[in-house]
Amino acid sequence: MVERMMYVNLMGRILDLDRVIEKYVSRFDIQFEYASHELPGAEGLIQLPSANPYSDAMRKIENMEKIAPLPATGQTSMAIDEALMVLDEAWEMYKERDERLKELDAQKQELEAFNKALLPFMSLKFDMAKLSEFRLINITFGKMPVSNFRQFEAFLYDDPEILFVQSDRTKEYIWGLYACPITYGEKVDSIFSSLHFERVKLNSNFYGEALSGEPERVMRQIDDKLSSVLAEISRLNNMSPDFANRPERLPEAAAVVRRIHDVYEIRKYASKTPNDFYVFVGWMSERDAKRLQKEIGDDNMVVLVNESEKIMANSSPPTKLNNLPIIRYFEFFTAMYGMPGYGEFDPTPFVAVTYTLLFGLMFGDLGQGALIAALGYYLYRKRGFSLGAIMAVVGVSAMVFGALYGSVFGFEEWLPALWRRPASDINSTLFFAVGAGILLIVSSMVINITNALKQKSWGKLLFSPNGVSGLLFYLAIVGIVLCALNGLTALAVALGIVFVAVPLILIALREPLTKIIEGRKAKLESGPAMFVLETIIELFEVLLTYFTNTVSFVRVGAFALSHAGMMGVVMLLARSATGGDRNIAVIVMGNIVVMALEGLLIGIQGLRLEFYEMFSRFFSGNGRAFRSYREMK
Amino acid sequence: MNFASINAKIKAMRGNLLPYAIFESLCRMDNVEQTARALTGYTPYANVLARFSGGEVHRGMLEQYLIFSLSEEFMRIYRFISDFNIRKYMRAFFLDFELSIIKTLFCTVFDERDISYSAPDLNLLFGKDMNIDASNLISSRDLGEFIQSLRGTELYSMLSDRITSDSTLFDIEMQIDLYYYMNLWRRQRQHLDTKNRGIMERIKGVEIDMRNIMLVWRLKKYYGMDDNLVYAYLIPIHGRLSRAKLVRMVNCLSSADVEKEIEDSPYGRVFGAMEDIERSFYMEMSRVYRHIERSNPNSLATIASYVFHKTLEIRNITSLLEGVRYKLTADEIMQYLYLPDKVDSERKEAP
Repeated sequence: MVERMMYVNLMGRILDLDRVIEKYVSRFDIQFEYASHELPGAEGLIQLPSANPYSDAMRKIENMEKIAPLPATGQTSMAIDEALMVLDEAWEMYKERDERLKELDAQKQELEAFNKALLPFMSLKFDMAKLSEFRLINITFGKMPVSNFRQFEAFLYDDPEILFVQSDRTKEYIWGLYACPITYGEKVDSIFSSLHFERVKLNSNFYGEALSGEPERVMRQIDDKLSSVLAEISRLNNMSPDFANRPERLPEAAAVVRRIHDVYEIRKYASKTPNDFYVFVGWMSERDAKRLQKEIGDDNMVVLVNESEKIMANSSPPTKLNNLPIIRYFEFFTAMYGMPGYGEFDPTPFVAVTYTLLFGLMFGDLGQGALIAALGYYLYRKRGFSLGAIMAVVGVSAMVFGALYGSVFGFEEWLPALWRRPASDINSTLFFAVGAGILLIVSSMVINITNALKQKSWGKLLFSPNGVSGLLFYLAIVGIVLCALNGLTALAVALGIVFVAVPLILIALREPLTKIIEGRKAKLESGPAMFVLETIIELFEVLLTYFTNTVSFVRVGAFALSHAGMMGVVMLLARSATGGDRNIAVIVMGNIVVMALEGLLIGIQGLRLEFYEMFSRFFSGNGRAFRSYREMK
Repeated sequence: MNFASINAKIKAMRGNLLPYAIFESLCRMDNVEQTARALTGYTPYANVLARFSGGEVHRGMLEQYLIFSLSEEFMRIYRFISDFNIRKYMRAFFLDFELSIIKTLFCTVFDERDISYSAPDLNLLFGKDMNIDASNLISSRDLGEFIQSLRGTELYSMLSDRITSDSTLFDIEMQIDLYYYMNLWRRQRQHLDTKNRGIMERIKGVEIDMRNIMLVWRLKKYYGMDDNLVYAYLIPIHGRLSRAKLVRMVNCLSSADVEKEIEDSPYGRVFGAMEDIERSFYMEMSRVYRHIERSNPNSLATIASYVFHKTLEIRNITSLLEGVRYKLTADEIMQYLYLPDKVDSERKEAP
């Protein structure tokens, strides 16, 4: 159902704006429109500034609440200036802690980097602090590629001026340090850099504290430091001691700021008139609008003007769907195609019923249906997938049809068929599917006719392929086929002349006829020859569409058959593996494969039938969805 | 593995190597086109050069495609090897050739040389071993892109950390060579039995020794390179040349000192007066290959020797085409060719 909307104007003195927002507006779902755009007659309307002066304060509150939520308070009598002061005071404390946290984080990162750099040198056994005390020997830590290390090993290992101490190695790199007398420093450095030796910086000084001992000991020192830093970080994060003695009035101040902040969030939708009045314009559902009207009652500081949707508002009414609980899940499919326009028939209930039936018809299996329903329910409840709810519904439908077909997990002999088994008479299954299709096509045509009546679009009502002419034509063809099948040839011919020829001519001439009905002059824009050509081609397409759309429903029967067929194959495989008894593993696997494959295929094919065979007949889907300002944040 | 059957096949293939006399006659051709047409008369080149039939023959293109004949030859041998380990080793052995193509492609990044390799041609070669997408390689426009397109290969991990924007083409080529020999040595240990490993280490050891010697000598003579930097270009493997000896060469102050050290080394006789070291290199290699092949008839040496001589032949044809293109006289051209069987024929005549 598309909910009825009302166009709302709310006016008053600007001094009274905050009170009105708080008391009335903030409690309703409204889609605001820009007043200056909506009311072309009203000159000098100014949109109120969209920047919120309290967003800064609000951010502070949100940051503080990350540490510890502020208790709710009923008192909000504090003046805003005072509230801001209290807030700033608390913020100072918070900031101190925040800065300390940042500092600690920097230390943590530095320690971790150092830790990582030191790791490959753990196997070295000498005092790091003493290394830096050498005056006449240069010591450089680093890594080099294995292939270059081979070159070093081959030609320079015996060089008396170079000492290389190897530590860890991987497939690609060798870590280590080289030492040389300071007088050869430059030469040796250039050798090593030509061998792609990459330096690793290990400063043995950390925040004023010298690290000493073997790398292993240094590593322990670093780990100790790191864990103390981490401990302090978590202490600051969890205990927030600064807030134990935070200002008593902070909760109240926060509540006040939050309230005013929220008011300003709404203020930006208002416009100001030159003589200090404000105006809100927007769309509300009729129910909400009536409720608002009642609440405002005789508050003589506010003027509320409710107008029905037919006023001369510049914006078209937005569409708000309102359906019964189970049907509501299928709004997902409707929205996938497009939002119904306001005043258009909401196809959701139609989809809900037909899709559920079609899925059940195609996927009739009691056991597999139950599994799909359970999976869908799980996905919807725990994961919040909107498709899950639909799966649950169609799963139940599949169970019902499974009982009707007498099929459980592909076992056809366990249950008696309450209605019939699809595979027992293939022809009648297919005929039944086409029959159901004809019914669905006819009902979508009827919906289109109602839509056209509602929209007072006479051309569409009378002459379109999905209007009255189309419906008559289609029914006539169906009738002729039925008569011919039953041997009533004379009746078929009579029907043919009256109900086939006439509607077809009307459909062919629908464009000029529509213009005539609407009181416009019927003029052929591209000349008679072109008109005839276009008309013939279009007519051909229309006829073809009727035919293909009808035949298209054969798939409903075909899928019902293929389910039985595929499960038959699974049963055959289960038997052939053991040569007698059925193999449980094969049956389970087969069921899973068939369920996944068919579930997906049928889900998609069903949707295809909905969108292509039915929606295209009556649904334009060019509406815009209703979005309350509350969702816009 | 028994090498009898593969060696019989190799002997048949060796019959197709162009003898000295044919080079002499090819030198007398008037232009490149004529030479190419003459070459199509010889089995190994008929296929490769067929794609030029009728069309204009361009020397550069011809050279690039001659290389493919080498690849074809190799694949014929490769398919014939049944032993899994030998196959693996031969891939590493022949990688030389693919790396030389990669080097050529690297050149195109440095200068705007025209390369007529097409992606399908290259995929034929690289596809099996190296996992390289050749079309990326060809379309790379700068060094970084080029190296990125080698991603996934061992070569990539080696080049990516060692090559910076100021690396020269020489640096890259040396790194690629280094990769080739280290990979080859590893595979040798992994896949060959003691006998064949000994043989291949002897052959390739001589090759590496001579390459290192030539490199040191050239770097000293023509670039006056500081000895600190030379080490990064040397291949850290040695044959009969001791490491200490090589280090002494690196530490020499002038190329004249290096020459003295070379004279004093096991390769003194090979390089002689250092007049044409390239020729000395190829002639010595050829001698070593044939010598080892003769003394170890049932071994890998036969295959390796054939591949070497085939490679040398391609190199000679390329020089020859260049000579013809620049209108050198037949005698001048012959001077640029390194033809081992000429030495043989002279030796035979001498006594």
